Amino acid sequence: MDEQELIAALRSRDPAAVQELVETCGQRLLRSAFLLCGNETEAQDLVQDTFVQAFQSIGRFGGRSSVYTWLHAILLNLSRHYHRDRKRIVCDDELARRDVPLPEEGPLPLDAGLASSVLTEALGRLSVPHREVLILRFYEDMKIHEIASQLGISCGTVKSRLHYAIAEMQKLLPGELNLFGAHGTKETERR
Amino acid sequence: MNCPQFQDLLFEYLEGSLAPAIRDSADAHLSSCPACRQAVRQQTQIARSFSRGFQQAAQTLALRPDIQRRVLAALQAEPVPPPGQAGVLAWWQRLVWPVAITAALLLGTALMTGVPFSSRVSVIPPVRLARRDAPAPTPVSIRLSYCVPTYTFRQNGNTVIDSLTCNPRVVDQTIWLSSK
Repeated sequence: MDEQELIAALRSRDPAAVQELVETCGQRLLRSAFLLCGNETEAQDLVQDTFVQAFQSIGRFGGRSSVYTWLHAILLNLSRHYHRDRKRIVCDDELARRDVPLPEEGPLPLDAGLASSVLTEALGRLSVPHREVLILRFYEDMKIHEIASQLGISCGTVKSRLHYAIAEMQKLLPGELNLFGAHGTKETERR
Repeated sequence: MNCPQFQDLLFEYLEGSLAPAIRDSADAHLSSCPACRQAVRQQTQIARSFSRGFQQAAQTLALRPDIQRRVLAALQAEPVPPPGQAGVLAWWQRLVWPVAITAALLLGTALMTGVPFSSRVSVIPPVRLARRDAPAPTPVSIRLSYCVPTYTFRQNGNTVIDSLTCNPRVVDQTIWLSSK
């Protein structure tokens, strides 16, 4: 079923179309949601809410973007609500997280699992706008103008946020992980 | 092309979205600029590292099997919109708040000034009807200044951006008054 047929089927609440959409986009959305919120349980809930909201507002989908891009825009919106609510309600968790030092001191084994968790941890310390551009650029592989369109900001703002986000990640990530090669963080150069 | 111009287009250069002429100009600059070549290498490395790191961080996640069932259950609880009406309804729903805010603003303006849309009248002399035996009427210039509110919508991707602007207008008029 191509996208047009899929949309028509979704508008008539065809369960087979729902199943197809969840199967084709669910996994990718979940991973993006996890990078956005840093919590697997919340990411699952965000994806579920994304699908429910998408099906409820399927009449608004004008077909100007791909279905996945449209779903991802809903996910971004929901994740912003998640971050806002989290700021309002849960403070202890965030404070506790700040107290956990990133493994900046001492040598680290270059274990992929550890590198991933450190990367996710550092990502969680970025502001939401900086995190969004990094994920859209390097996980969703979007071009600058596509990110601008998705976030409703200018291309210049996207590039500026990317520069700041990359610089911030370079400061947060330990040099031993060698994520940025020979031209890595200032810490790496000093050592 | 110089270094700042190239740096400004670095992301577009790497993603291959530059127009051919600009791309040629960027290539010409790169061939003679070691610093910008270094920046390209560094950004390529950063992109590869982030991409690989994000993929690894999320690759073990799997969608919960009950999510599909929950989504279907939520949908079955919703009434199916009549065909052909969903789009129109959604369009109007998006306009409800902007229209309501505009109406409130216009109403507020009207209540505060007493005259809808008019903000100031510099001279409003009492106008009397000229009598046949009265001397020739004298001209009086009045200046009327007011604001015309304009409400606009534009779509930017999946976002509808609305804006309210107030365009000032000034009108000069002459009215003829007869003296006693």
